[in-house]
Amino acid sequence: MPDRGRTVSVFSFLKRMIISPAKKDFFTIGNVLGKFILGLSFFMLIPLAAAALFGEYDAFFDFLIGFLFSASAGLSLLIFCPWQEEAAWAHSFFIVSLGWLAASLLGAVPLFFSHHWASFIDAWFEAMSGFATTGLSLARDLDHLSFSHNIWRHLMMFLGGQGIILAAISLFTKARGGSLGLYLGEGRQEKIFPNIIATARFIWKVSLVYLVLGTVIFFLILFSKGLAINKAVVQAFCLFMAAFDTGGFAPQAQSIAYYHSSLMEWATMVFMILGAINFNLHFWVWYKNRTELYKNFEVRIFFLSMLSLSLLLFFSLRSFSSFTVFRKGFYQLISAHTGCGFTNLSFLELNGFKPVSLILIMIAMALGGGICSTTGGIKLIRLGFVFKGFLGEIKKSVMPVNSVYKETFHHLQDTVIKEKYIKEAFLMIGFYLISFFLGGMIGLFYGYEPVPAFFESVSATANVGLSLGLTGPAMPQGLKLTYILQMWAGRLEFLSIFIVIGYLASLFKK
Amino acid sequence: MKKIIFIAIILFARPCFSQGLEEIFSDPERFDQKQVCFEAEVIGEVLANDSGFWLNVSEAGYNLGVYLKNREKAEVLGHFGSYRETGDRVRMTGVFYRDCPLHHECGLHLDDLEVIESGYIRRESVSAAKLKLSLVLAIICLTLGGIYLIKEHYGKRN
Repeated sequence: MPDRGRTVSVFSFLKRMIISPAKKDFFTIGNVLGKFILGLSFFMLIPLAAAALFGEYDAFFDFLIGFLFSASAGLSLLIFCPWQEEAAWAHSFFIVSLGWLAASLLGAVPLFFSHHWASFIDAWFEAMSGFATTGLSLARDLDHLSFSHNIWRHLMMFLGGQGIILAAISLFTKARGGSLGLYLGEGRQEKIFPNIIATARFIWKVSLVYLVLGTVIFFLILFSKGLAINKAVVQAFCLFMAAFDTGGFAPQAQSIAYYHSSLMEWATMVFMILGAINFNLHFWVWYKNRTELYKNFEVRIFFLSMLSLSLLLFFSLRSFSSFTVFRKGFYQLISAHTGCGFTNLSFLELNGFKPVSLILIMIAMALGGGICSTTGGIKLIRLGFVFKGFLGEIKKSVMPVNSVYKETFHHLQDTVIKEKYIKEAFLMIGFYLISFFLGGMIGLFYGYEPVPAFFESVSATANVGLSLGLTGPAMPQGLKLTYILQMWAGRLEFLSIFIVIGYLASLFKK
Repeated sequence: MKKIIFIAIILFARPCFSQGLEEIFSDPERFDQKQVCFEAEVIGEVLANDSGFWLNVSEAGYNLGVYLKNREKAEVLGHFGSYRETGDRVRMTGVFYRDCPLHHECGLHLDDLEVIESGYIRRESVSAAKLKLSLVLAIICLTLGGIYLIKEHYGKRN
């Protein structure tokens, strides 16, 4: 078992897995999935209650249908797949992949019935975008959407940011077996406590503390701007969930630009950055050592990459006034780097940026935030490993032949960078780059310009949500499905998807 | 001469030609710091700001912020677009800024606002199909829940 705070070598677990499922394995997977789907259905009671509270009767029935359908699906799986054994490693990765697919499909049901989404694929896209904390949206006429549907869109982001499978299972069941597999399968590679359920609950604790704090701060700003109390409460709640879980959905079509408030922009920036910080670092700063914030490897890389990208963006946008460059350019960069996707620009204004500025934003989107955070993308620590790897090679080449040189990094403790960390970082960066490239090529195939095609592809895979306007209800169905796949694979960091492919391949082998 | 004066009156009597929001957004540099006129639905509410007030308008998927120095100009508005209401449809005239030097935002500085079509409260109705589907699913869900509980209870006894 990996030590606390150490990067877990997920690929070593892959080697140990046996990809040859028996009938019993399918029962085990079905049973855990049944529990998960039943747990997820209970979360639909939150927007259902909101619809009843605000008197949104049509929306109430959308969520009633969604809840009953999901609960029936979960119960059916529990009846037909009785418990056989504790879920093992290989099961957990399969559960994660299928669980995320099931969650997005079931989460789309109440959206589909609202008529704000043109088809079920559009609703599925929205739900996947929500759970994967992406923020790309296919909603039509968002400004007339009900409070309850907005709560559900943002709640999906909050659940997705925590890791939906582990969230549902750790809150609603006493599952123990395979929980580390579920944790790793959902794209997290660090534990805070030796026990995974305790880690999941700590992540919930951190998120709930910030939820109260963020909702109060956002409410005060919105109320002072003139929003009615009920609307200010709902929008503050939604905006917090989207900011902290680096999701990027917003209750209004103009995103953060709707509020015309630099105070709101500053407040959202703070919570975006908090969401992009490793949960392990939150734990250390809260309970152990506050100076870790300045010493931490990931924080330093974030600061360095933000500084260099900001300087380059400043020069690339010099046709605008300095204040505008700071307010608009810096906000997009923070939003992109944290993987949030909030914007204070219309997509046409963003389109007005020079290609070089858009490429800088794409780089920020691709990099992402902390490794055990709510962000997507390559992640800072991997970038650091690659950088340190290069640095180490250069240093080795100028040292005497017999000298021993070890490169270290500080992440909670001083650790020697092992060869396998660098290899794994390269591998993951490779997967992301391939996905960015393939998605961009499919966009080109559908006739879009190169910059928007690659911009949206990076935004989907890195789970950011910034858009140049390509993503919309009118875009080709094939491209919608491509982005759904990219959001799914990017959020789970490809690993769980490969295991499903391995399982499917083994079925054909048999 | 009379003809020329007549044509000039027709041309200059109107403050500007009406543009759609789509036209403005498709070429914002062309309209930058120029008088524009468009029709759109008013969305949300009047938002207070240090230097004045803001409105947001929407038209065919395009949204724009509108700056008002005084709130009085917005007092003619009765309905703002939301889940419950379709907002007033208004004709707005003002100066469009791609990057306003005062607010550092893209928006319209309002000169004149006219309600051309009053908004209304939307009637919410639940379709019969949704009610029937809910009933059928409730029966299925309760039946499955019952089967599951019986199975669990029976399984534990054995």
